[in-house]
Amino acid sequence: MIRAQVIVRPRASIFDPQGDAVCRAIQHLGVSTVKQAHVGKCIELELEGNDLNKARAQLETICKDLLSNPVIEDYVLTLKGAEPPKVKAASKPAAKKAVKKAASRPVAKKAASKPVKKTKVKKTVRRAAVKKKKGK
Amino acid sequence: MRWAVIQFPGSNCDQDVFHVLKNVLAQEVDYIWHKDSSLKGADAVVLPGGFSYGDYLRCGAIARFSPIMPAVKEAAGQGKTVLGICNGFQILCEAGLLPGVLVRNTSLHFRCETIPVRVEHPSSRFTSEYLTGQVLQLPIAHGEGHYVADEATLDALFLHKQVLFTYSDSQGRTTPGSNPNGSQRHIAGITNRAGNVFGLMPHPERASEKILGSSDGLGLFTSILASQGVPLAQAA
Repeated sequence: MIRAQVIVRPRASIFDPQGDAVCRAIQHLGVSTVKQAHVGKCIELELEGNDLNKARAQLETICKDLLSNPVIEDYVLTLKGAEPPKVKAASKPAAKKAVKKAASRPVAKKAASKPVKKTKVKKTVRRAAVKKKKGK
Repeated sequence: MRWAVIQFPGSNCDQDVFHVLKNVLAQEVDYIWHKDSSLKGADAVVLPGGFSYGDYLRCGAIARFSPIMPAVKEAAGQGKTVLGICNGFQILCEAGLLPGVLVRNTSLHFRCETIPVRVEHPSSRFTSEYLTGQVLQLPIAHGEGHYVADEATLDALFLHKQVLFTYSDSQGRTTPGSNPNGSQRHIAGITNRAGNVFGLMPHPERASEKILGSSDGLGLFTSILASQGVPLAQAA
């Protein structure tokens, strides 16, 4: 899975009435330090496959032909390969410690790489949950 | 003369154009659905006003990829008459059949009113029934009618007499107050270099019968008929 983001914004040389209106509204709300605003679009795409170069070549064409009009707009295309799915418990600080501890032991390492030894994984998770409770 | 009126999802002036051509000018007219790929032998094509594809992304940006568009481009290449009104003008620009692009009105307001429009010259197949400097009363109804192109393109448009209509006051003077959308150089309608593709923001089809308040727009259609040698007597 590849995620792409296309930012389309009005060219600097073209007057952007929307940006002008937004800028005035911001100033009207008392933030007079804002001197310019530009309103564009953010288009997010999800693509099958994982060949970033191929995807970029395809999307550059789409950006020029459909997503932006080169007469009035510029675009920035950024591509990201999908990140591996994170273990939910690992995102919590208390659980992180538990995972680190477990990782230092050879048995737990195996459990982390191969989900075969389900009981051991469960134990570490349980331990993490207990630690979390204690932490609270 | 045989006409094709293209219907995109979101077109809303298709029936008005059809009515003027069929009932006012006694022409043969077909509706062509945007998913068709043939114009059924039409001599002239009209892309009517409306909000094709909900104006998503940009006005006309998605309609330009409709299956009928290759046939429209082919007709344009063969020198057949192609007329884009309002959203039709936006589609022709996006499709590259006309230069430039139409962006949001400078005022950010949707302008729906009848305004004076000046004829630049009668030496085109769309304006032969008018006079140079003639001021027409034509309705506009758009939020994105601000014509934008680079300076070189604008110069070329005037140099090659591609600008047929400009926004003016009722005396034919172009003043800042007479520009309803901020269009560069007050441009209201332009042709391609060959002179057979015309796009304009005002709605001539809404001003083609006296009962509707103005018949100033009818001259655009009768000009096209005259250029194709269709006797006007045939037009009812």
